Amino acid sequence: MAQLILPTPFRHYAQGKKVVQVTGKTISEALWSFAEQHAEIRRHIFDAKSGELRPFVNVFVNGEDVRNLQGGTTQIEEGDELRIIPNIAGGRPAR
Amino acid sequence: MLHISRGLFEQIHCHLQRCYPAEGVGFLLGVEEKGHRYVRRIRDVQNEAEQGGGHDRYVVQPETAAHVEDEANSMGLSVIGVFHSHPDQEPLPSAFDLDRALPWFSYVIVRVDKGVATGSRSWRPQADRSFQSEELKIV
Repeated sequence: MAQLILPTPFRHYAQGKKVVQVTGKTISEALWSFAEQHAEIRRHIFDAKSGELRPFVNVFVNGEDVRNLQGGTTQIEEGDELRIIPNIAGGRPAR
Repeated sequence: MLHISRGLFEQIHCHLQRCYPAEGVGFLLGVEEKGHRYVRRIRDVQNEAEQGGGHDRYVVQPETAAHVEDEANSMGLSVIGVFHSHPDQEPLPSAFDLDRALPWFSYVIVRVDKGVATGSRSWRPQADRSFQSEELKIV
């Protein structure tokens, strides 16, 4: 099992937990093991059509951005620390 | 309802006015009790949007967001929302705001006209991908 640190907006959907245990051999599998239990936030992590990680979901494993590794297929090991960091973005209507 | 002191509210306005004509952004740190949210601190951050020089977008790098979240937690607080400006436009969520909205957060949008904050509203994302107005109480 690995640990997944949740950002504040997701904790509300996980009984207020900051850290949850996840299973899986890869980042995608581990996140899916979490997301399938929490439908409300699944759409914030995975693209509804492709099932792939959404491009603006930032995932770190042991402090390393998985984009610098093998993305969702990055292998994880027992005791690894995963962290989802929300992408903070927005802006006024285009003119 | 989102409760915020006049002093913190003015700090938000000052930051966003300094950023004009670009969009400014920052975080709301606080607590939630019985459905009421209380802002205890704010953290201005740099708008790192490259598109249009940040005039139509705000972006915060994940490392910055993580740092603010860790800081809030170390003080016994949580990041409860984000504030940003809409230069010369109404403080209404845009389609892009909605697309990128995170669940649960409060989103305070401040209209800044010619460098002066002229209106503010708070919004909460809903499960149906809409925004609902949230009462903003300045105390």
